[in-house]
Amino acid sequence: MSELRQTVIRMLARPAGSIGFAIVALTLLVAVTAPLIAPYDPAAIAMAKRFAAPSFDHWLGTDHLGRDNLSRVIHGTRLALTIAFPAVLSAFAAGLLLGLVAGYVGGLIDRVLTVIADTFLSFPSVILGLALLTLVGQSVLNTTLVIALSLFPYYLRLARGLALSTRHQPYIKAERSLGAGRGRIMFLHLLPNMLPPLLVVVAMDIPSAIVIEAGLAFLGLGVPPPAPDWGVLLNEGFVNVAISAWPLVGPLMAIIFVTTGFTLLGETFRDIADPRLAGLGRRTGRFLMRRAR
Amino acid sequence: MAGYLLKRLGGAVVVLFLTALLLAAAVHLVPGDPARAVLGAHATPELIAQIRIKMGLDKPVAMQLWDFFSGLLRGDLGTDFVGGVPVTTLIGEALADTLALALASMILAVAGGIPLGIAVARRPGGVLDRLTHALSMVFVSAPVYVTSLILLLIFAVKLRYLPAMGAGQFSDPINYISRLILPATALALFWWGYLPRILRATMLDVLGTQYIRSARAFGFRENVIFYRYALRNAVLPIVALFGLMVGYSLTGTVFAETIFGRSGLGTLALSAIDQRNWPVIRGVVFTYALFFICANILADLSYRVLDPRVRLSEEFETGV
Amino acid sequence: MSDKPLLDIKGLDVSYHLDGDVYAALRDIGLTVTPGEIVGVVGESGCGKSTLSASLLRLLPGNAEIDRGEAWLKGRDMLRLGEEELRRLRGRDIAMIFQDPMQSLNPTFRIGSQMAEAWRSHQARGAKFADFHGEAVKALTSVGIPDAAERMASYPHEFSGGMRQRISIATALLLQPSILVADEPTSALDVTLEAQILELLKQLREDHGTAIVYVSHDLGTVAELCDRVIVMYAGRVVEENDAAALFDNPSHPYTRALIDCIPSRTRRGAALATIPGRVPSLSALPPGCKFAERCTMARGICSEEEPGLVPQAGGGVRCHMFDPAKAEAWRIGDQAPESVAAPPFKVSVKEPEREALIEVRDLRKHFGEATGFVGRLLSVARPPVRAIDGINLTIRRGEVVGLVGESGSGKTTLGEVMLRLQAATSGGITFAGKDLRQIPERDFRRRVQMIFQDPQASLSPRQRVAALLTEPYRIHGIAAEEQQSVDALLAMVGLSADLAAKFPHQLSGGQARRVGIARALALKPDFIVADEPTAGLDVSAASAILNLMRDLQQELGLTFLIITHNINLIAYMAHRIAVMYLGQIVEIGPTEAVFDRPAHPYSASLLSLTSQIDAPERKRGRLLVPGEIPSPRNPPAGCRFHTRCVHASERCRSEAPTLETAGHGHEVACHFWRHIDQEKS
Repeated sequence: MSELRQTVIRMLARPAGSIGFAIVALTLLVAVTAPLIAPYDPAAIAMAKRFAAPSFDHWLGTDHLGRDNLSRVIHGTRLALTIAFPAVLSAFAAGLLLGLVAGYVGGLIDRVLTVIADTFLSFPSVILGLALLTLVGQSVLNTTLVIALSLFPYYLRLARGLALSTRHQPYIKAERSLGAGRGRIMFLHLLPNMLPPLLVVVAMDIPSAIVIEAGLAFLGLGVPPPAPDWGVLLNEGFVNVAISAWPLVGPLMAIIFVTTGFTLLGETFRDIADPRLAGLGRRTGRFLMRRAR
Repeated sequence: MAGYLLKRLGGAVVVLFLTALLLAAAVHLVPGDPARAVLGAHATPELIAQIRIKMGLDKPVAMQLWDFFSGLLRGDLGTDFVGGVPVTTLIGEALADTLALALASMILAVAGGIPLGIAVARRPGGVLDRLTHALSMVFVSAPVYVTSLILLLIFAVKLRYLPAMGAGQFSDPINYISRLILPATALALFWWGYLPRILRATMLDVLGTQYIRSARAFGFRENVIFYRYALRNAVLPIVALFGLMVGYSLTGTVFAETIFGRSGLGTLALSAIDQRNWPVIRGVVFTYALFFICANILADLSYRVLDPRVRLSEEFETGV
Repeated sequence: MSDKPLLDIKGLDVSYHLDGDVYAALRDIGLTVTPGEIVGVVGESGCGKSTLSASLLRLLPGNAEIDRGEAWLKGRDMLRLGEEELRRLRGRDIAMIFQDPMQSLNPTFRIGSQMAEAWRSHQARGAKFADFHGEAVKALTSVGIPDAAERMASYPHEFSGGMRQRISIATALLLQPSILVADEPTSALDVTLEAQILELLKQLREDHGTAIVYVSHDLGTVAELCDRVIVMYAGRVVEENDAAALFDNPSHPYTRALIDCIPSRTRRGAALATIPGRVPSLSALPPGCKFAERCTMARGICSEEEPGLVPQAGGGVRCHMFDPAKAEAWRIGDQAPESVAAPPFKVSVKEPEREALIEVRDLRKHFGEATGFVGRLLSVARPPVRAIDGINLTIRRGEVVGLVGESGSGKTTLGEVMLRLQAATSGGITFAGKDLRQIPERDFRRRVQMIFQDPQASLSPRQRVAALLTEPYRIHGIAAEEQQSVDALLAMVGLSADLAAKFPHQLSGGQARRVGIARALALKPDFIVADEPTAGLDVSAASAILNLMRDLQQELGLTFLIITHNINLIAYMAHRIAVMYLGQIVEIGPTEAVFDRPAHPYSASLLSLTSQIDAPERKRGRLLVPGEIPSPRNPPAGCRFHTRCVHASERCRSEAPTLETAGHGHEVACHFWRHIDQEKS
């Protein structure tokens, strides 16, 4: 896997890549060690200390229930990632598989899958999330599923497009002329060549998932309070913004910091792994877009 | 062109039909009692029984779908549970404010993003390029609710420069527009980060092509090459982004409306969710989808009109 | 022609800087161009031809640097001019046309507006814009664009590749530069169009006295067009001479080798010369003569000291072994061991057996055939593409059949339909005596193989060579004892065993092609379709591939259908030649017979247009084919060739000819083949 090592080295050689890498590594570290590094229990209520300004005891102050803002943001990191990773990965796995089949096999399967994907794509993700979560109820699991469902058609579309363009490559025709079957061509020859550009998309979609998740929670539909979710923190901070702005500072910084970090990493990876993608206005646009939904 | 138009419209109609079908059948698709799904876990049995009749859940499913679709064709999206007002009336009232915001943000996005992109592409690697590159990463990454909250904190809470809350009235245009500034800027920030980057990339692509070399070999003036020859071709792919821009703006308005206390589709949907007012939710969601689909068709068509090559790649053929 | 040079390049050095490495792209280049002269620049890829042509206009990419040198054009040194002065020179004094005509016009502007921009850029010349329209129409008409006034409102994509190249030339014509640099202007075009463009360039010189610098890898067209030729190798000029002298009596061993690599009818049966090794990397050049390590004549001094340019009659030679005093007696051919005199025509590829291996009956393949009710309604406006339209062809076991034709003639489609990679619309294929429909697909795939056009792109990019070579065995579940080892397969195609661990992108074009051949041979197939087997390869790599294919054919008795536009290749290799035009075979017969007495006017033209570098062949007349191949969507009625045939009569326009016998095994589809005087004038 010297190819992978080379890619990593070249990524770290660029300032954007190394900054992105550092941020992502730090984020992961914070998420894993949250209970150890958080100074307080994120749920510990102390009504006496409501809306405290930053101090040595509470670096980011306290919220409307006197809970430590910093500890809540730290625990929120863990929550954000435990939703974003499974959501993106499961959507990716399903989308890749179905997109590959749709693109390579074509015909009726392709039409049906494409129309289904297009139907889901005609709702902006957050809107779809709103409607679905209203019906199925708020929970961490439901939020994860709804995000996965809203990302999945993009992957299907993207994988299908890649499979379609790859299947006309001469080497696929060469494999067919050797007598290679569909399964062999799809999984041994198409898939490995589709993965690098798609992995870029996945890296860039982790922040999209975080943003959707926090957005739903902010609107009061994602992870329900009192969980220290970033969206919940933003919502509570927003409601009390006239009294104190401090509860907002932590989650705002955290979201900007983490999403920028993943974006830097993803874009550097894209520039190195697949320079072709850099120029694809519409497609790049599509996956950059997703975080906003 | 006509053939493509027909095909594209046909595809959109199919998708729109399925979208409607999905919304009509949504209550039956989630596990458990549809009435309970609509009302949530804590509803009283009386209320559930009441809703069941109001939504016609006692009728066969096929009948319910028929009712929904025949209503849809007459432009009837049902009546709201709470006030008994037709959903279309509610949406009609909210739509203007939402569209004004979306439009304002798109104008700001283009007016800021394109000139910045040109300036950056003029001197790649220059000071402006590096500066915007760093900043654009943040702009592109930050979601609307983050930019909205930050603008709210800075300009409305801290500096008190601009009116923050509410949408105002059309009858007072100056006030109405001043209330648009903050939310529209919050929505446009993403594009100020994104458009220059894309334009820079496409511009450099185009400047590296054979026909630009060829133009140089015939002694064309550098300004003609940059502003007339290259810019036109570099902006073309961006036209295709228009559909995304509409989608982004519509989604963004939900957050911007909430944060800046504006009336509009987003706040209508959220209050309906609070009241568990399913017909309103369904109607608003359908309206969003309708706009989104139309915007994408418009984007594809304008791209094809502007680009004489009329390329028909798979992506454009059926993309939403 | 005056002897005072228009353009005088002296001691030009150009380097590229990439990732911290320095590439010595050009070193000590000298080049003069006198008014009205056509100078050819030849060499393999990577020898600096394109860098040189770009340098002539100072149109180098950003990472290139001119280290040294002078470039005098009309009394001014271009290398010391400011950007604006340089711009005024470009187009008006020296213009350039490029290889890919599809990409040298801006796709979103009408061609008239692009020409107008060129005109406007040089208004200082005193011309009024009011004159533009008339001048542009004149220029377009003179390069052969019909209805020029109307076509000026068309976009580039509405023109074919050949037409676009004409438009580029017309733009140059409008500005009337004294020098036109043409960088591979015909490489993307078919022979018929190539000949038309070459004619146009000659005419440009005749009518306007324009000097032309013609850059090409194709020695044949250079021999056809140029007065003087410079040969480049690894960024140096290694030989310069008058064209006739250079091709008849090359002084540099590299020039000799390049010429000997080219397949031709006269070299049939003999091994082609090859040049071992590759052009050295420009970032790590050897100290002495850059060609020394590939040169059969190299001595000690060659790898130690870089030779200077030794003058000879028409120019100079950069070789230690060349002695101007003995120039008359200097015959590299006598000294180079590899160059063997061509044996007589008989010693051909191995003779085929009698048994028919694959037989095609009335085969048709139509694309976009209307299906369903709506489709049929629309099809009135849009008929299907008749890619192949009634082909009969029998190939015997052990036979090599060459299939030629312009692009758009349907030759690749025929190959793919014969291998069942595409379904036929109608007609029958019999393979080894059995109807193809009765042979299970898997069995058929084991027995036939295809060698695809692009050597690198036809290898799955994320598989190692070893995996690629053994994949056929895994697909067909071949028992281990029946498999050939990876090493054996590599050895069979002349590759060393250490390539087994490489990925396709790490191979050179020639190596990738060999891997493709080894893969095709792994299953010991009966029948192989080779689609442009030498496309994209340099002449030296191509000759090595042809030698390999010929050896393998003889050893294994392989049956080949070779699809190509390179008629020389077929003249060298094939037993029989079939000429295709718009989906039909217009002439087929034994190679000798068709080459000696082409019966169809189309084949006669194709043969006459095939570039020749051997002296006797070079002098032949050329029969131009006017116009371009029509769309296979609406093939002309009657004889499909009648729109471009100088002999066409009323009968040709209405009645389609069928194949009739014109000699032993020689068939032709032409009403008047008996009457047409095929004299080569």
